[in-house]
Amino acid sequence: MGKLTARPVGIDLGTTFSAIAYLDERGRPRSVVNSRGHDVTPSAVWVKPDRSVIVGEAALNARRKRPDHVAVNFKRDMGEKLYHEPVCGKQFSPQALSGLVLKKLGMDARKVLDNVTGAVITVPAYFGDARRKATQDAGRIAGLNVLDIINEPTAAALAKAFREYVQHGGDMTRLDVARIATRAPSTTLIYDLGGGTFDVTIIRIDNNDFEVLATGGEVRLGGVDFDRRLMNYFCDEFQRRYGIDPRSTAESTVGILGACEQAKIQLSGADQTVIAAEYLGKQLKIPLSRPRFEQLTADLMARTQLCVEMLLEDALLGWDKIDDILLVGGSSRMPRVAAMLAEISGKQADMAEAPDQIVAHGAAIHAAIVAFDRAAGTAAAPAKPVTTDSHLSFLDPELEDDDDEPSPSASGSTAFDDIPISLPIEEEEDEREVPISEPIAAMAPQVATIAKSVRLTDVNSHGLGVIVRSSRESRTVNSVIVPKNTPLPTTRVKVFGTEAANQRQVRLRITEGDARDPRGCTQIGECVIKLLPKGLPKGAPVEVSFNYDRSGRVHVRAVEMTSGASAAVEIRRDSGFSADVVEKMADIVAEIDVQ
Amino acid sequence: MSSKTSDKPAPLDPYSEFLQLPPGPRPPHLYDLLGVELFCAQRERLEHAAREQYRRIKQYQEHPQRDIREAVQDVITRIANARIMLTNPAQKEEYDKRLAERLDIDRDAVVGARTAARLPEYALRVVAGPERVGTMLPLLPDQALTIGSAVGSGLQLTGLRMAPRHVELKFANEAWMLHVADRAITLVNDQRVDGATLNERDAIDLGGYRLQFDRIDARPPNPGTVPPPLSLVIREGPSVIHPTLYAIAPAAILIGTCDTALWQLVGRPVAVHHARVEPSGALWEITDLHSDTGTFHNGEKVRSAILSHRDRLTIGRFDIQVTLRR
Repeated sequence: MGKLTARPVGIDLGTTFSAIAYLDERGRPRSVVNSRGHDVTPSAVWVKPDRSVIVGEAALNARRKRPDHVAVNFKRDMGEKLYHEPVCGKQFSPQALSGLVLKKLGMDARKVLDNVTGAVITVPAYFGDARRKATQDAGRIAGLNVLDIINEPTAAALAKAFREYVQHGGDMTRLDVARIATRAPSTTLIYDLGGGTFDVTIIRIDNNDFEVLATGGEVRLGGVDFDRRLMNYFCDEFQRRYGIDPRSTAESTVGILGACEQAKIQLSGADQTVIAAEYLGKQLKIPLSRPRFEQLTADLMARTQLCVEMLLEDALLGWDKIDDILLVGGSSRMPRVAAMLAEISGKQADMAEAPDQIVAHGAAIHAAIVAFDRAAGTAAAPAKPVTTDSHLSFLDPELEDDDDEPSPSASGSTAFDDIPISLPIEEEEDEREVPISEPIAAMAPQVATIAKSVRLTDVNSHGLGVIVRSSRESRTVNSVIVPKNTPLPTTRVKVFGTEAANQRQVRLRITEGDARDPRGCTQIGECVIKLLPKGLPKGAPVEVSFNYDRSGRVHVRAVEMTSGASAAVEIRRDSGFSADVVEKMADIVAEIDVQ
Repeated sequence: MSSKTSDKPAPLDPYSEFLQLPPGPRPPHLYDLLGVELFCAQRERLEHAAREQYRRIKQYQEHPQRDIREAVQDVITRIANARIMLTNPAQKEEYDKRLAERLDIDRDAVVGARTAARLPEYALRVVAGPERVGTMLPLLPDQALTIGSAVGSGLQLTGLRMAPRHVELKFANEAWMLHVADRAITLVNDQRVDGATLNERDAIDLGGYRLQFDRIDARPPNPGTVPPPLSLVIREGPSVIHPTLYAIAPAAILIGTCDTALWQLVGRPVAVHHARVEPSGALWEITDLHSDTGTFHNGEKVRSAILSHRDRLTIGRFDIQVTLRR
């Protein structure tokens, strides 16, 4: 069978399973089937002592015998420096492990496509800055041209709308004059309980406009937590019966965890099952009913419920404003999910068709859109130069030891009075990335039509702000400048005052997080205005502006308004590592024999 | 030389640090955890309290230190558990019995004394402001409620015009009394007050927020008969304190430069009392209050206009976008 022409792909990089998809000649999303004939691949990496790597089912099986040679669930560690334990005696970053999975997916895709010209990788909507960067780096480490990162629920909504359009007899070639949405404007709540993360997103679909209204979630709540709960239940019982704890070795833990996962899956169809496992020659079988399982995991389900209710409150929406509830992610198959949502909403929740693949399908659609946009934008100007003040760059280590700082605050950092005077101004035209040169000409005209007809507006899932001193509260606080759930792109401005008379320097610590308490926030950048003129009064106005562009970059600029002294920093939300580190890791991954 | 390990700081207590719970046994029992009175049996109140505590603690979920993140996860699990156990009659019964034994108190006596006290009859709802709009807070007759920007306020609302302890509500002589802090600008039904006795459906304006005082069992209006949630966002213009204002019916919003305006837009040529936005049947309507420079609706100078989704308003040098959540 001949291969299809080169094209971009969409990848759902999941905690437990990953999937990759593309658009066929008629513009329909198709999943790539792996060498075992499955359309999803376990996100498991088996590192052999000869440094060759096996990804997928075989790795998952090997884990029962050699748990210390197989890495799983590394998506949970995304944003951390290292995967939480060594694999085959070596330390790996979560990016490198994810990169190996992505490399395998790319290899599978190249069996059906001439080449992969670019990839859109999905992340949970609730992922913060560090995790998004790490995901993008993983793609580059795998040697992929990462076109964009898109939120999983947004991808799911996109794919669902297209499926319905096709099912209603929609013609892909006439998308530019047709409505993708097959009915009146509607608001959908997407409940996405995956293997390791939980997301909830409210999206409004009006004709061809996809507008995300609000998003929330938990980054450490997913199917694996349900498995662990069952495992602890089983092991406690085992210990009670035999006086020994099977959790004492990694091998037995993995085996029991597998048995518990199976039991959980069976209970989605059956009312009753048995968890059976063996440890040190002693066998235990525990019958488990669905109500008992639901009781054991009730608090996990309640957390998703709290999260959904909080999001509705934040978005000022009641259940009467939600037209549909869409369930995505393998763990949403647990019957309790639909039952709980029905109890609190009085509405029926619909399980997405092929819930394991829908996210990758949506990513494939988005990949086609982005690739087309970039190709169409060839004439657009290259990215605007960053207005960085000559020697003041992001996290310049020299600045750390600066001693000419007449700061009265105990922390030694210069803070301001929190006089938030904010002003959002018209968003700037979005800047185009330097266009990619990959041939888009090969793209079917149908795909181009899709690309032209869809408009997608997303929101930021976490607030962005700066740490300032509040004289009213007599403490340092996080002053949020771009609140969470702000439609992107956006520009927001706030004015603060200097804290002391004759202050010579202002240091801005840029944060991600919604808490007023700085301890709840993560510092994601810093910029400093140095050499302010002498004799400035206390409270001299400093204007801080955040410009969050469509490509995920945040430009922060601070101007002392009396003297005009300024500093700026660009926070690239698309990479955590420096370019040469990524390149080095990519070289290593390229040389590793992955199967 | 002294041993270094003895200097190790005590581990952080997430309950007092992040939830502002008073000192006591850790982990606290479920009623303390939710910040409700012992053996509280009102389902709605318990659910509301669980959501509030979840909202508070969730802000710290991404704490840079792993051990604190884990402690926060643990607190979240406990809050979720509290919600399940206390809203399930059988589980609550069992939990109450065990708790009464552990605390060595007579539950019936505690609950009996409280029933003699009274159940909340009134509630406050945030109907307009830069955030927290839609929040409902039941008022307990045996507890005073402070509203302000201070951490630990019964209702914490932030903003430059909000004093740390802006107002206090107390139940006395069979009525709810509003006490206003010195110089804290507060309006009841659009009249500036230093204090007031509250009546059903009173509107209280403070620090850029509008609260509605009403009976706790007041039926929410039929969605078709009131306007949908509204947000007004400044797209362009001089600096303001809050670029976004959210409102739900029955809020009425006074826009102007004065300190008593719910949405204060400072800078000429905005008038002291420039315009008013309020429900008109199931729609929102803006009315110009005879300002010198006028109110523009989609570029056209108007006396009054009905607001639609994505309309543009111009007031002075402020360009404002209207969003309606249908």
